[in-house]
Amino acid sequence: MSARPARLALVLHHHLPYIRHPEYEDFMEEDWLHQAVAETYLPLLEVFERLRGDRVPYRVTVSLTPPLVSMLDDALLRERTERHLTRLLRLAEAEVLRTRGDEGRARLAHYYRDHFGGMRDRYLGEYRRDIVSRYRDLQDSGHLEIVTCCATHGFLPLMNDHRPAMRAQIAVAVEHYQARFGRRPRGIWLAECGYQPGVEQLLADAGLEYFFVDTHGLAFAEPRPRYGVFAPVMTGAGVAAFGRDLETSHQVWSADAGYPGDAVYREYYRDLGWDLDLDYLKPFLGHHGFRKNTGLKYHRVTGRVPLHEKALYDPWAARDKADEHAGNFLFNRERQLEELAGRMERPPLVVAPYDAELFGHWWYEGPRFLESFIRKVAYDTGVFHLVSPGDVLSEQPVNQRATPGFSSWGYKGYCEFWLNGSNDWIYRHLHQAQERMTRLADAEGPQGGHLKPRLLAQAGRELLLAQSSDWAFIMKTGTVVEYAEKRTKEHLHRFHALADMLEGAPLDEGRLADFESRDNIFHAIDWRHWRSRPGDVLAAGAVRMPAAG
Amino acid sequence: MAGRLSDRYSLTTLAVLRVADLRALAREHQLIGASALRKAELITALHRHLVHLDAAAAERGRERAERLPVQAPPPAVAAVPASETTPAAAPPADDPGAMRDPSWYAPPLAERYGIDRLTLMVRDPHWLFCYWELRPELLAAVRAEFPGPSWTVLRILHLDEAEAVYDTWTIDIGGDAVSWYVNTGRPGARFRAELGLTDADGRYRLLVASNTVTAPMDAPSARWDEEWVGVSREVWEQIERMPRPFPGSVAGWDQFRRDLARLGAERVGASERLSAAAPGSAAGKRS
Repeated sequence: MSARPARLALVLHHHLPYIRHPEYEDFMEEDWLHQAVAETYLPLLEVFERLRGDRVPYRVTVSLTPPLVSMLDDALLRERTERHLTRLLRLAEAEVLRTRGDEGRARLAHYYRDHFGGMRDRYLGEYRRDIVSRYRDLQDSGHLEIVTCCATHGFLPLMNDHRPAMRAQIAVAVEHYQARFGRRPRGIWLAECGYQPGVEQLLADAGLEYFFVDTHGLAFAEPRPRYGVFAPVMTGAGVAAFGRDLETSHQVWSADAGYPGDAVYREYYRDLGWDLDLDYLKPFLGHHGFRKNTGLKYHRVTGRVPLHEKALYDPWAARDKADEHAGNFLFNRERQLEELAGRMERPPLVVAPYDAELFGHWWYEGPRFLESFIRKVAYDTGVFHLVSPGDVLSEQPVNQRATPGFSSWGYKGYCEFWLNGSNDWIYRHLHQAQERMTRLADAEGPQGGHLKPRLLAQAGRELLLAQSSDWAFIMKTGTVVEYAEKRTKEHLHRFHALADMLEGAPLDEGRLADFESRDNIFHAIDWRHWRSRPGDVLAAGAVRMPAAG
Repeated sequence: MAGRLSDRYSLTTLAVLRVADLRALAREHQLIGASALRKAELITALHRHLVHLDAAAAERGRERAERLPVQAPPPAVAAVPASETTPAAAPPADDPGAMRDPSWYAPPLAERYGIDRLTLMVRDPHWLFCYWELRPELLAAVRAEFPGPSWTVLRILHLDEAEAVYDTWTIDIGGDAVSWYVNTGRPGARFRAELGLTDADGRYRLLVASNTVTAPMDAPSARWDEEWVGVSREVWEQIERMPRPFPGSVAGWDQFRRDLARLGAERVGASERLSAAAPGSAAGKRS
């Protein structure tokens, strides 16, 4: 064993696509944000703040993507989150009345009423609806390391190596972070861990120190890394790459071996919103009156039985189980890290990234599991401690030089989830738009007149929003495909309408103002990021070779 | 009892029906094209259709009382045991979606941009994707160079380290195609593509050439760095012998990566010194 204890970096990737529809009183897809606030972000904050209050030393890395931060900061969406929390509380209160006489359900109704009541009080009172500032505060106190992400979660490997478009995804994110968190981000979570060789130079240009790749990104690095994924490598651009440890992820995610499938945990798919009479539910649903998941769930996983055979949930038994699983996770990490430490000349590092929404939204007891695990790491083990990637680089500035392999953390490890028969049609349009954006940003002319800066800025916003990997993702999953197609098309239409104005079409300030009010992300966006630089290949594939004889 | 169809047949309710029952329901409600759909698609399409029918009924100011050929199942029965579901990046959309009126939908995007363009993209180590647009004028002009009939072909050029053409193969594409997936099976190689016209005598005229891409690796690098490499040769050889997950399943891919991590974990840091003369990699050509 080496003299210094081994290290574990927990990384929680927080992301939702930018969805904001002032034109509708209630919008189904907007609910994702409110659900995630109620089920993941507020519960996680509670955990982090309680741990800090109890003086438990810990270090966790979180990525907060710019679209998510922008939505959490948006006045309209904050109002709607409050409305969502109020509806939840009212439903729980109604349930307390409805379930009188049914002891098992009444117990749960009381549990939810207290839970939602406390959460709503915290959101409105202590937090004053400002979740991002609480995360920032946890970073300032040294407990969290917050990293950024591509501006709108754009998947870089499918941008046809168009440097200005990739640069803008990175630079806009970094500036947004700086304005919101009062410092430069040290690291970035590339959307979907999508990396292709060359990206590291763009990260270096933006002043970033590190990024993450999937396991095979390091296993297939050039040259072969000495320690596999258990140490970062330093790219030629001077930006470090950290590799994901799959074993750690597997234990939490996997269907057969993973913790969330345990019989005592809460069943995600059985929700009051689908069980109860619609007339009774109506006041607690949106104005559209459709059934949806309410977040009140009375049943546990139980076993491999149909939903109507699920047994009642017991939150207290589930908490005990989460503590037990945290102990098991700790034990497994100790064995893994001891084994590694015995074979490495430097302290091993295990990087364990997860989608934050796994904890709470999907796995209801996930936040409790994390809290329990963090406490155990602080007090019950001498084998390893929690670190952030930034800590690792500060403590260990010398690392092996290597370039990771092209990779993502998606289905089959490369681009297939975002490039297949369901969504490949979008790329010809996205590529045309990104090239047009650079032509506009490079143009010196007077077009657009006094509106020119606003037109360019809004064109940049529309392009970024169209590039969100979420739309291709949804098209592939087959869930709300129509919505994803609508968003892709609308942003591109708006982009081209603005571009037309910049190229001589009649100026329409009303239309511009309309777009600005709908797609209001990145207030301070700098369109100059789309300007070309020497060496950029701007229209790859446009080459018309002379017809050979 | 009369009521909204989309309430009676929620997504969870539909999910437990047999495909034959779903088809019957689709026929009953005149959902066009249902026979071509797989179960999951059919459920989504049917539910969306029922939401539309509800909307139409509401507009006419009356409810539809439907007699249905299938027996209603017990409420809320899942098609999938919860333990088999994999969390996704976005929360699930078991929501029926807002009521859509025609103005909700965005108009289609431009079909053509009036350019000659062939773009080559990387899907994974073994597959490329390309899409194109040709102006009819260009096509007509090049076609005129042929004495007889000609047709469009896609040429894939495998490039060597000096960007010279090392190997090519040609794919006949239909007249209407505007994109193509190409299985190269050559991880780590560099490629360019061309669209051209050819005829029965084997004449070839270039229409447009693409950008150049490098396929990702699907194996460890063949380069060993004397100063650094510490993992034993034996382990790397094991990795090289492992079956590749192509064309693979998700499970196969995950297993592959788990095996990778395990091999690394077992032997990482072995003190054995290695010569720079590494065994040939399965990876093929590298720069």
